[in-house]
This record gives sequence, structure tokens and C-alpha cells, in this order.
Amino acid sequence: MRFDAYLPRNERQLLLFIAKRKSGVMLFAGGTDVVRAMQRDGMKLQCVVDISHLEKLRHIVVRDDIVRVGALTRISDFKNQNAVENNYKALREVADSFGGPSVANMATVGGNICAASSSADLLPVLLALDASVILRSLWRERTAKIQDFLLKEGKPDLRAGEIVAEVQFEAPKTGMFSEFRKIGRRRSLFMATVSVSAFIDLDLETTKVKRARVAFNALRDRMPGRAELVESALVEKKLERKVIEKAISKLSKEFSAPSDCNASAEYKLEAAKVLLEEQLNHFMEQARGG
Amino acid sequence: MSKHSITFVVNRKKHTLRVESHETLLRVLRDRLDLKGAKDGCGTGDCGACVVIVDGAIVNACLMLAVQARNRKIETIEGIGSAKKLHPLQRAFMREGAVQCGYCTPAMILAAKNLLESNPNPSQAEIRQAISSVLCRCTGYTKIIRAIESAASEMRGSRK
Repeated sequence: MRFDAYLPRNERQLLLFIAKRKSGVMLFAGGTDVVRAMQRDGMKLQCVVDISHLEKLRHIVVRDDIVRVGALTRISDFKNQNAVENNYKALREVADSFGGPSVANMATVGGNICAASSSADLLPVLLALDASVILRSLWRERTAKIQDFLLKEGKPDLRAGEIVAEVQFEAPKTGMFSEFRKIGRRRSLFMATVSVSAFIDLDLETTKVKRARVAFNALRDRMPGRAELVESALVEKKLERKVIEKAISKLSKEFSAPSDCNASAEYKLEAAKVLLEEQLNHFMEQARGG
Repeated sequence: MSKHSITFVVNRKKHTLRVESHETLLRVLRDRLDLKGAKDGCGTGDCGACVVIVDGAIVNACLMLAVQARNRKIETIEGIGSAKKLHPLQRAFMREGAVQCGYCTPAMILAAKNLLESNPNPSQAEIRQAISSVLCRCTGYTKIIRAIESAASEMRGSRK
């Protein structure tokens, strides 16, 4: 592992540097993916740009009904966000089950997004929250929906000279919930074999579902994606046993994560149904004031 | 390869040294400062034997570049107790037989210390979660958890 390091003093210096150097440069924040890639997979780098100290890109704030999460927010930062987490438990659930606590203290939101992989725990949550990614370069700022940003496995839509600056999603209001569950081959320090995150916006008086979004870490292939048939089976219905059963039965039609060294396709589908059912049942209990 | 001058505090002592871009914090602690407590296990953030405390949070020193440690406060096992004056966690690990080969012990104790600072009376589940970054292949964790509970109780007692 040998390379040069550049330490920009602020975001502008960073953008200037990566605008000039077109290739061979890797941004280095938490290091949890980059060091692994170098040590284990033999990735060679000429230059890393240490961005871990750019504190202006580390924040979780709510403004104009939008939650804004800076790219250098550490995964463990989600453990101290009462305003957001009372409704969006998913964020805390990701932080609690993410690698070990030391890795969650280092790994960043931006790094997890750019991994664009089925083992990036934040991705199903951000898909279910219908998050947007704010991308900045020296020349412009653009916004991309998270599902459009994830082009394919390991390939985010990050263009030359661009950085992920922020992730944004709708701030929680009464009746809006989001949760996350994952299952793997061990009880701790595991990569998700299957994970699911559901977001639901409920009319608490009638328990009618106004909006529903359900995302898995791997839906049809090895990429995170939304289960739209399940979603439409929930919308405009009262959240009750029969509706939940019907919605879950739709999963067989759109969930086809392939067999791999962790589990068979059949196991994954079954696990996906169970995890989703647990989550929807929990929403139902909350809707009934449980 | 470029070098960088960094200043950081390790176990309350300020150090200024020149490090290479690709040196990890773990290498600098072990090879330059001769602090051999943090261990080099997997080198990829899986085993946790290299865990140290940086600005109040546990991190894997094998994943952190030395340049990233500039202006930060680092605590290693060498800073929390001495042979003459052991930390309550160190005493409890000895008392409860929580040390076998010892490779994970510095990291376990630092993870436990970090937990007890914010949560002096943790549940067993909280202890398990807090040390889940560190693998131990000897003890089966039972005695480690017992030692942390015992130290927590002792530390609460002495605070009254």
C-alpha cells in the first residue's frame, strides 16, 4: 500500500484538485472500503485525497422540511438524532447494525452511497425515503434521485470532478415512519444477506396508507431496488392483517435476488417476506397506538 | 512519495513527526512511537485488534491514515493504566480470567472504557454491542463480558 496523499483545506481546494487530476485519484474519508480494496484486492492508487477533516460536509440538519445529511456524516452520527429518529428509526437501526461500532465511527454516508452495492446498508433506507443526492463540482451543482444515481453494482453516477456533497430527504411528520431490518450469517459484523427498509405515511385516524415505499438491498440482481408491486398493494388501503398479507404475496412477483455464497434465492425470498412482514406489522401496531 | 508533518496527542503527550502518505495510524503507533498495544491483525478492519480511541470514539487504527490523525487526541492501552496503577478494567480482566492469548485484550479494554464513559451501567446487550468490533477467538466472550460488568460496578462504586 503506497500512494501520495493530498490534504485539501476546504471543499473548494478539493474540487479544484480533482478537476485538474482526471484519473488515479481516490477520495479517502472513512477508509473502510478503500483500505480493504488496497489490502485485500490489491487495488493500486497513485494518490488519495484525504477529506475526512472537512467538517463542513458533516452535518444532519432539518431545514424547510428537508433533512440534509452531509456526505462526511459518520454512520454512527445517526445514533444521536432524536428529532429525526423518533419517526425514522431506520437510520438508527442502520447505525446500530453497521459493521462494528468502530467501523460505524469511521464509515461515511457519502462512502456508503458511492459503494453502490447490496451490502451498503444505507441504500435501502435512502431508496425508501426517496432521497436525493446533491453532487458538486467546480462548475456546477446537480441533484439526482438516489435510484438514478446507482447505475450498477460498484458504479455510481459520479461524473468527472464531482463529489457527493449531501443527501436530502423529506423530514418526518406525524404518521410517517421508516424502519430497517437485515439478516446475515452471523449475529454481528455481518454483511446483509437480505435487508429491507420500508417507509410509510399513514393517516393515523383511519390507519389508511397515504404513501408507501419498500426497498431491498438486492431486488432483482445484486443491486438495491424498490418493490413497487408491494408498494401499490399498500397505498390507499387500511394497514391491517389482510392487506399486509396481500402486499407480501406480491413480493414473489418482483423479488428475484440470485443465489450466492451467502444464501439460495429461495431462502432470500423467504427472508425478505419475513423481514418485511415484521416491519409492516410494527407499523400497524404503531398506527393503533401500540 | 510525499511526507507530511503532523502533530497529534497520544496518551496526553504531544508528538510532532513526519509521516509518509500511505502510513497507517497503526504503523506509526507501533513502529514510530513504540506503542505495541494496538495489534496488527487482519489489516482490513475486520478483527478489531487495532482498535484505539480517537477524539472519544473507537476506530480501527489499521484503516486510518497517519495524516488523518493530525490535531487529534489518541488513547491507546498504554495510556489508561500502568503496571503499578492498573485501570479497573485491567484489574477486572485479570480477576475474571478474561485474558487468554491477549491479542484482543487492549482493543477489548479500550472499547469497554469508551462504553463506560458514556454509559456507566450498561446492560449485557449494550456491552456485547460495544465490543462487537473486536474478535476474540479464545474466551468465547463470556469472561470478557463478566469482567466489564465487574469493572463497571467497581467504577460506579468509587464514584459515589
